[in-house]
Amino acid sequence: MRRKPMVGLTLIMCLVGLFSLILMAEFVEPKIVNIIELENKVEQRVIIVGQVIRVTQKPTVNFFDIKDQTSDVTIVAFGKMDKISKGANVNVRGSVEIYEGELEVIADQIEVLI
Amino acid sequence: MIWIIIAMFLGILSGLLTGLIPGLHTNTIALIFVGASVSLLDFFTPLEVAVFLMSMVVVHSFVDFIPSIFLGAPEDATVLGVLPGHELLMKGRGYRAIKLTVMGGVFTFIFGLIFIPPMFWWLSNSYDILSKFIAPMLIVFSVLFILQEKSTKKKFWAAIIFLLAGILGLLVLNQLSIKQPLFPILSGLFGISTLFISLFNTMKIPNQITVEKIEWRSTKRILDYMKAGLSSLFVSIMPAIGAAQAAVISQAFTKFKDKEDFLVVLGGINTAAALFTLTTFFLIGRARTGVVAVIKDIVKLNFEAYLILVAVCFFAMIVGAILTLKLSKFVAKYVSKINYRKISLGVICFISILVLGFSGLIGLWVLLIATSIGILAPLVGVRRIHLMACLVVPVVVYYLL
Repeated sequence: MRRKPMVGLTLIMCLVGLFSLILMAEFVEPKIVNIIELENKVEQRVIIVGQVIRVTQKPTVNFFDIKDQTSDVTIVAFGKMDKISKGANVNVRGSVEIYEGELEVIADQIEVLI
Repeated sequence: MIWIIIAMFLGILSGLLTGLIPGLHTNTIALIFVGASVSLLDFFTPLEVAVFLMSMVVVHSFVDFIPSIFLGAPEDATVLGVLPGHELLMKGRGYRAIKLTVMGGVFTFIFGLIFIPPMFWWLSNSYDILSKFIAPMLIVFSVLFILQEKSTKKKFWAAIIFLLAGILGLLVLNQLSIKQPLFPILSGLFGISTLFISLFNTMKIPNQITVEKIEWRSTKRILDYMKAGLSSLFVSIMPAIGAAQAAVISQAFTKFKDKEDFLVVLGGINTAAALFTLTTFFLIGRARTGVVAVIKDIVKLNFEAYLILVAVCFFAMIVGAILTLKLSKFVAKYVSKINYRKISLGVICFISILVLGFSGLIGLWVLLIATSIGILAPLVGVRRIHLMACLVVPVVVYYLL
């Protein structure tokens, strides 16, 4: 195996591949799903839209229970964030996890809908 | 009780199978269990599922050295980074390499049992302080690994590979919606890349010696078990640090006399980490492996359940060691006769099909990118350890942001 051309080829492949993933991350949105469907989306990124029914905000972690027309789920968001009130309609983007047997969404973006 | 024993034997059998499939990590099996756990709990108690998973992990930790040592050996004329196990294989001593890892696994596990009471005291007192240092420690170790490369050119390449693997990890784990994202990443970086390079091999695997006497109770070996035990403890606390990284960290602090020491320590860390990650979860509620994360989801681990799981791990360790030695002797007898290229190609196809099934078409694309990054490391002659940036970078970002 000739090493030099192989190094060049694999490096080009790495860069093209990573660039394509950046484009995918930028333009391919996670799917909007109903809360009831989250059971089949464990370890996947999703978008859910619903109304906040319970809020617990602390300096390092925030918990929100949100409901839509199908069910409800706990949203966990780490770090400091703006206050979100009970009753607000939100669009949550994050990954679905199981914690102590219960489904939850670890949010990386929460947008309050006006 | 009878169901616990049945669950343990099923776990041993599964560990044997997952260990023999190159690139298939127990975390992948654990992730399948995340989805299936709700239905499984209709038939089994949570403890029985935990017993199954733990015995699978322990047996897997022994058996997975068989494909990693007997398959994917690079030709040292074309590839600069040759792994210690492959070096022994090329000298006809593949069985010896396996025996060293098994020996490390068994004695470090026993050593680990002695470690557990002090660990109870230490972890429960210092985890909060320690957790503040996780991100800085990961950064320091990553920089140290890069600086350990011999020439400036290699340091440069190590930094490039670290960046590429780190960006891949960040994009796939944090940005894209892929089912079981770790499977294509780890299979590509560490599994298929090695097999792909071995496709270009023109050399033959020499006949293997299957009678090996190894000293197991010399001072040197006892020091190896201690090194492995301490490194294992480190692996079970730090996220994104695997057995190979811990072995290299241990190498950085204490000089290994030869590559055999490295294999003993690597085998020791791999097996004892199963015990320590379980203990870490029991003590501080943190899951450091996919399997423990599943156990965390389904079992409220009290002291009695923890002791049962430790006993199960001990029994699985004995069975795993015996099975691995028997099986590796068999493989060693026939490895020089097999068509290496066909086997490698077959395994590459098999892993690709699994990735397609688990993670879909995007997963297959990620596998291809990860394989390219994985091939780059041995081609430019730097250690594969920098590839762990795929986990290190997302963990550092998580702790810092």
